[in-house]
Amino acid sequence: MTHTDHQQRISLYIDNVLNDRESSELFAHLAGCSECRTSMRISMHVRTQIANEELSDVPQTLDRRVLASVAHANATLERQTWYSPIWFTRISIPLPAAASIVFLLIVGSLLFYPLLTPEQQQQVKVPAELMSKVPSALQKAF
Amino acid sequence: MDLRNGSMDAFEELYHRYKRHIFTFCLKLTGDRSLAEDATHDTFLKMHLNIGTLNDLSLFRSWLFSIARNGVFRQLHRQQRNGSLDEESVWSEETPLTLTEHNDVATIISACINTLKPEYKEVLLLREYEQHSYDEIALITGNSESSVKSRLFKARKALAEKLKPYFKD
Repeated sequence: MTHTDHQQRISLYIDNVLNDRESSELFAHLAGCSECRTSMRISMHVRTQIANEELSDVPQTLDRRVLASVAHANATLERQTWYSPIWFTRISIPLPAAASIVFLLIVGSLLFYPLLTPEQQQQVKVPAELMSKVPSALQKAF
Repeated sequence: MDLRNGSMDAFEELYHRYKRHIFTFCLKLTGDRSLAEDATHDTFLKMHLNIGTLNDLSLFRSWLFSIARNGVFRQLHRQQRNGSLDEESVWSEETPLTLTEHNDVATIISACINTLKPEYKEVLLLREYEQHSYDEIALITGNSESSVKSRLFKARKALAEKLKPYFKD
């Protein structure tokens, strides 16, 4: 392994992703390489230093700005939903289902078209039992 | 998730939980308070508007950081549009630090990190400050895991070189 390979392993060791064998090989190299020892020490120090560092405080003006923007976005969305005409609302019917419905409507209308002609209508006789249930005002229509 | 229904309470809870993390990340990445504030603002607004597109809520943290990261990089690229980026160089062109003026090691480390190029700084910040895993960093930055490992190595090596004079045996 080259010196650079060992230096790469220092980075992986710091991230705790080396297995036992790789770690042993790295430490064997460190025992005889002062340059890598220094690199390791510095990288560990950087990690500790950053871990002890506090997160930055967010200014209150930013808090107010973010919350106001989100409230505004909410209001805009609500208004759009309220005024959306119903015919702009998408109906979620998958395309194959919609095509099947259209196909059935066409076939159905072709099959039952003769029933809708005047001659066929005259042949339809309403049974007397059913006729008695129809309001008298509508019975003339039959 | 209430946030998907536009709940302001749910938004505020998430905002207060992550705001310092996102703001610190943006601030360290840009080195500019005003830019960091804008980037943080845009990040949370985008989070609110696009939360419906996030299918796996377990990826929320990485997703949020990727929004912040992309926002910051858009701003930085806009600023650097006229200059050329040297992919091989680890250090930023601007080096405002004169290390010998500082005695505090913490200040020196912080200043050295600030002089790293954004591509290297971001992986170091995500790894060291936020303890993101390699695959999370890959997700956030849109790079492969091996690229993340390589950038981390280069960033640490460059930092070690710069800091060597302060760590003599």
